[in-house]
Amino acid sequence: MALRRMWIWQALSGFLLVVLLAVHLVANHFAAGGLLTYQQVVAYLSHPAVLALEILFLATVVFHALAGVRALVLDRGVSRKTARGVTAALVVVGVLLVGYGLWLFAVIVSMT
Amino acid sequence: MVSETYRRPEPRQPSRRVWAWFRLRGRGASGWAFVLHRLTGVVLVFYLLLHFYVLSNLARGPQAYNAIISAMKSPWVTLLEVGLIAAVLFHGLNGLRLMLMGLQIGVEQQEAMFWGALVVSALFTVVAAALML
Amino acid sequence: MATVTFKIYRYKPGAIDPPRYDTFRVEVEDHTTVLDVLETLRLDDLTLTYRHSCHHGSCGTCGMLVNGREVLACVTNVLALKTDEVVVEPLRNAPLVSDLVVDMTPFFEKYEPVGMPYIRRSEYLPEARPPEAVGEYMRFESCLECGLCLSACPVVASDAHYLGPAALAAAARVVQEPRGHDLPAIFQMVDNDEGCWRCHAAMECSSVCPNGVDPGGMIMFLRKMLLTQRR
Repeated sequence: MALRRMWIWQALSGFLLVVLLAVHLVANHFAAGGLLTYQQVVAYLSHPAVLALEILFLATVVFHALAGVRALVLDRGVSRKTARGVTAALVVVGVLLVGYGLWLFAVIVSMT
Repeated sequence: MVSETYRRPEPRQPSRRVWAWFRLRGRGASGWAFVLHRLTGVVLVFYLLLHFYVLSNLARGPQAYNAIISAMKSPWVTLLEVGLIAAVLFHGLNGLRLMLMGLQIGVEQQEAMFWGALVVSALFTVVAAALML
Repeated sequence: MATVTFKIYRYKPGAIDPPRYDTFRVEVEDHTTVLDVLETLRLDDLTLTYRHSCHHGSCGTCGMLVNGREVLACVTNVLALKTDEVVVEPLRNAPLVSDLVVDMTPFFEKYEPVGMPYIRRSEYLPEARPPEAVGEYMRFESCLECGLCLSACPVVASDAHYLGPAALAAAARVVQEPRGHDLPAIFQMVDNDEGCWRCHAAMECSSVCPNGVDPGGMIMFLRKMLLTQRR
């Protein structure tokens, strides 16, 4: 039941990532000139639509990656207790990574 | 006469290790798909963390960011980036295959879909490499 | 006639421990199977142990690894392997008892609770009148309970709790033809932390299955059911 929901979310986030990553890469490397200087990054994120997409990308990619790690841990064969502990730890890591990413966006956006 | 009680030896339990995931002897195309999906997934998790580290230099101002970007302009890094693109493409396309299979779409054609994912990611990697190098 | 080298895994607790490989030069004919070779070798060494029964691929007892791949030894032709050296090893992911014999208890611990009846009343030709002695026509389920799929599955290899391809395929058969089975109980069995979501579609179960059960495809059937059906 819980694992069914995880499977669905992993599939949906994976599908979303195929789309978002294509946008992320094309926007970064072709439209925005590769984001190779600080000024380019600031200009890139000053578009609200770009910022919204990048925030969605951040949350999706962190979820998908950590859910993948959790699947590997489950496949290793762990007790239910360990599995719960690992899940809790990964949730904390996820919140920290997304929080850090958001803070970084805020820093860049405040430069404009 | 000496009588001894016979004690049946305990069967030897299989060792359950993660390296068993990568045991490829005797395995077919879909077994390779599983291994490649797993390996590329692990690579991408590490890349994500590296990406966070590189971008953390944005918080330290223009000099720090521009410095780390110029440090990345070595051909070795570009080569790794080509590998990264290959990993992303395969993981993404094979992920779509896995999703379709879970919806019972193309389960009979799953091997062809794997080869398709492999060929398409190879082609796009070559295109990307040509653009980058 | 050809001569082939057989490398056979040997292990006996307390006697051949650690395990080793014994090598034999064996003369084989066009029709010789791996099981034939084992039976010939056993005439010279009665301590060589392996399981077998029917010799024609319907009992599922002689499952083993031949050149790293799960097969039924009785229907594996030696020359068709096209290798000069044939490596014979016990199935993986099961407790090893002796030489090529593994303990099938873990297999049945997962498989039996599903309660799949392996003989069903045939639904074909209801008007056909079977001979009196036969009573009614029966149809066998395809699964031989050989355990090849569990040996080939990479998830079973690292997690003993995973229900595994054979039990999930049996559960899917019951879902396809409930015939009075308690479906909610079956769904509860497969839709949890040890069930069908743990499969990562390596599909090796389906590729080694000697009787076309297609456990991988059956797991995908269960997923589709659980994803789309209101229960």
